[in-house]
Amino acid sequence: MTATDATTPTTPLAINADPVVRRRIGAITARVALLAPVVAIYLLFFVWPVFSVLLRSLSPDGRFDAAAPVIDLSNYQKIFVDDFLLRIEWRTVLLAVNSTLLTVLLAFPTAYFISRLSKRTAALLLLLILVPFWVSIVVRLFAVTSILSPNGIVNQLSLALGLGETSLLYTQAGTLVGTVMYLLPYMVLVLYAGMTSVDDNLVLAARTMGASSVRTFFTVYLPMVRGSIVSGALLVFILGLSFFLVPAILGGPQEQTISVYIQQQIDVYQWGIASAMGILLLIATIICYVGVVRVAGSFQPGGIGSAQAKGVSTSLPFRWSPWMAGSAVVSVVTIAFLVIPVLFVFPLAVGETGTVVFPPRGFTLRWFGEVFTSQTWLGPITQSLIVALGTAVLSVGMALVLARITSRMTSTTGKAVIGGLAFAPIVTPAILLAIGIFDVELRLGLTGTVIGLVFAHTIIAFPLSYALISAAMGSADRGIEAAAWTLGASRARAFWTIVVRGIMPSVVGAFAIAFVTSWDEVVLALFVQTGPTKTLPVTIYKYLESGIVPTVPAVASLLVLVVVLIVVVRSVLNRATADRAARRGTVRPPARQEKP
Amino acid sequence: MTLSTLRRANGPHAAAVGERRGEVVVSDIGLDYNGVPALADTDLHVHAGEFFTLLGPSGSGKTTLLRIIAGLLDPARGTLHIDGTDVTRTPTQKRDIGFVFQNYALFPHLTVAENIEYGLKVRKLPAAKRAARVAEMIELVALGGYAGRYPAQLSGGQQQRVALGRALAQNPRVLLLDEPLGALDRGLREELGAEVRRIQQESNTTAVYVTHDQEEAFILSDRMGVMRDGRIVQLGTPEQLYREPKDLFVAKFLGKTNLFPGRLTGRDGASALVRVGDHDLAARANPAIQGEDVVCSVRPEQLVLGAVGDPAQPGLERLAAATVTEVRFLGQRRSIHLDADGIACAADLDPSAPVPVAGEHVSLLVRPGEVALVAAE
Repeated sequence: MTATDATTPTTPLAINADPVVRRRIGAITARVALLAPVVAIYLLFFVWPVFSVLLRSLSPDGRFDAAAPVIDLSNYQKIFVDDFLLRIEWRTVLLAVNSTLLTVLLAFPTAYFISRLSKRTAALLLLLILVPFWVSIVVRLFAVTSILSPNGIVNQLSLALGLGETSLLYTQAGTLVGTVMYLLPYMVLVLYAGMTSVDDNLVLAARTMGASSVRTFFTVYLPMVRGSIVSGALLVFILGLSFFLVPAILGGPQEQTISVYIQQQIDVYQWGIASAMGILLLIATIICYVGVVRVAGSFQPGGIGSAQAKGVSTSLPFRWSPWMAGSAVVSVVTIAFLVIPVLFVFPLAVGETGTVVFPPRGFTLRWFGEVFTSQTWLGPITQSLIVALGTAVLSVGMALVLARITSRMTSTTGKAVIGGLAFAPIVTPAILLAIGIFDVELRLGLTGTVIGLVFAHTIIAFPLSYALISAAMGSADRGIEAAAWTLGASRARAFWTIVVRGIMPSVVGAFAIAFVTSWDEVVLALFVQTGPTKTLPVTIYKYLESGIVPTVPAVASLLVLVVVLIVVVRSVLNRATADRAARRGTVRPPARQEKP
Repeated sequence: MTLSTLRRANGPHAAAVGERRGEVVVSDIGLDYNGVPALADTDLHVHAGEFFTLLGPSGSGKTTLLRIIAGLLDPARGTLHIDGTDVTRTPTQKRDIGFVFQNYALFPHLTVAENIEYGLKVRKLPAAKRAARVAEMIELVALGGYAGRYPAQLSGGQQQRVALGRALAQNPRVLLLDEPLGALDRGLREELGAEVRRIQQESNTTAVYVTHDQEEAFILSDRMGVMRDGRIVQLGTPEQLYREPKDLFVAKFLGKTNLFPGRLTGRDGASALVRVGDHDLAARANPAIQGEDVVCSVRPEQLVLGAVGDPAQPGLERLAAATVTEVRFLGQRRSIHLDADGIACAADLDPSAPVPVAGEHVSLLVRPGEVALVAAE
């Protein structure tokens, strides 16, 4: 009888609740159906690759056997004992430390100088930083190799000045130069963002209390931007530590770093040591990111590139001082360092000779014509476009699904966990991801296929898309979706016509950033593309390895032109929108003029 | 296009011309948040064509009830009928309601006209009919000339009108309003409140209105319900609720009042006898009172000041003796603060009446039957 006693009171409630529960289960099923592909792609092309490399690192011969699993740390032991490997590791750390120091020393005065300038000038100088930032690193590397090569301008200048032979190519110095060039824009943008958010009144307050400007700088200003400095430095340190392209091209055979060594090992199917080193890089990276989060409170990968010129306030106007003059000089050096390689591709592209030389001999545009007529370049261009489009579509789709689900979540811990998991792929060293995905796609038979590369690129592009879309969805009024429901719109219709349309600029931005990420990506593409047709940056990379043909600078120039065009048009449009909004005195919703 | 043709185009829920619709019947609806009832099992019957207000402090469950009627929240128990049809499991989309959100929730990327048109597009009305209806709604909410503006370019009051127009465009059976005037400043609130009422009457819709502002509730409602801790404490017309509060909470929540503890000494149908201090008074009986300990609620405008020792004026009963502590001129009335043996109370006098001065001893008089009784808590 006790059993019936227990169930009787709950029965009416259960009957009442049942259809509601059923409806809720329906909603959950729909959610799971949407989420399943996202989770599947994440598991297949991120979790499994990293896990697979981890398992391989634990087996002495780099071949994990599921039938007879062994856990053997001999690979890890070797990388801390073997002289040759230790030298590689030491070189890698040294490169990362040196390039970080150099980057911070150049970036701090530059960012400070720009942050004190008037809005217009600051916007212009930021453009000079942003254009190199968006130009593919392979293109910039091509220019740097030309500048540093024995018959490049650095050596010619050095000979002309009687300083003797200065060949930086395939030396530590050359690698350092290339790495700093890659890292500088990141650091400047992070610092600039931090510096423009400092309240000028605090500096003024310190002055009113009688502090000298030097004292104010060290006791008030510096502590306030310290967070930006430390997190920016850690960020570039991480990037420098696992950077593959610059050491691979500028370092030459004598200057191997961990990433380059890993690549060479995988080329000959030696997985053991390479896997252990990949895992080591991952651990070092995670430790640094924990540092970033500790210092900055959070990690914001989306913040990069979104720097807008804020301009100096009237309360603390720009004034020349010895400090400022020094900052100005460093800024000129920094900007020249970033811009010259980008501009350098143009003269190289117009020479008539069959070898690429500087200064160019004669003038011709026939290399540009050749780019658009030969399959050598049309193939890669088409391949790059297809892969980038596929990546952008897939990334935005995944980002929309995930952002939609997290925006409905009430638990902040749950949101943080999903956010962290989503960002994990871009925190993971590219070389580790590359060998892991290569390993997995080999087993799945996806290497050499377009879809295989799209999946690989989506893994690193999707987090950026997600950052943009989830931020937009989070700040949008959630009520408007319910409002659409009350007007009779189905859930799907309300989502597309209201939620997605409302954040359209962010969706377009997410699409663009995923597209660019894939378009510029080299490391993953280098491993996964085993077929004859490569993407554009990989094709350029191959030419950098094997020797330059005259169409390479032509392609490089075209790529630079596209970036310049986009960045300039965007900033003009932004200013026009801002001006319009300022004139009207209201914040307009995203520009949209067409009528139904 | 007129309202009636649109109604016909509205599908299965269409009603005959002139027929009132939008009767809402809530039966035993309940909802718990993490085991705590946000809404205790509640019954409510809103008549077709009625303007009904749910009034209560924040957290009293009024918005929860409104969202359950809208289908934006699922009740854990109970049933909900609109026009005799069980809609408890019907999703929001198919309930044929209009909802005005507290922050209006206008679609920022659509113009005023496009916002209003949205629900009509969803219902696949032909373009010509849509345009006509949008024009009609813009006229109704007095937004002529603003059709092409975006919400961000409108003032708060204008946004509120758009929200109202958007909710009414598809001629819903029930209009649900969640503190729609809460974000506006006082003058605008009164003006728009009257307009909400006018539009509701003209469009012949049932309205359920949620607010914590009693003035709004008084201006707008045919009937209202006062909510507290997830329950509807009392239902009735504004006047009933004001004059005959069922319990101490309602007496204190609606308007200002003076409270004097007393003891019930006798009952006689609609009136009751109560003893306050040394005085016996006639009061309105309250069937909800169980024991003998009661509180007399006397509105400030019902208190009359008399000189001490004067014989009671005809038609007035003595309530207590008091000392004037403060006199304030408030324009249409004069507010007198008094201390009646430790009980702070206030009386509203006609500004042209003789003015007492602070420190003066007076006696408090009240018309018999203007004293409401509630149970002491």
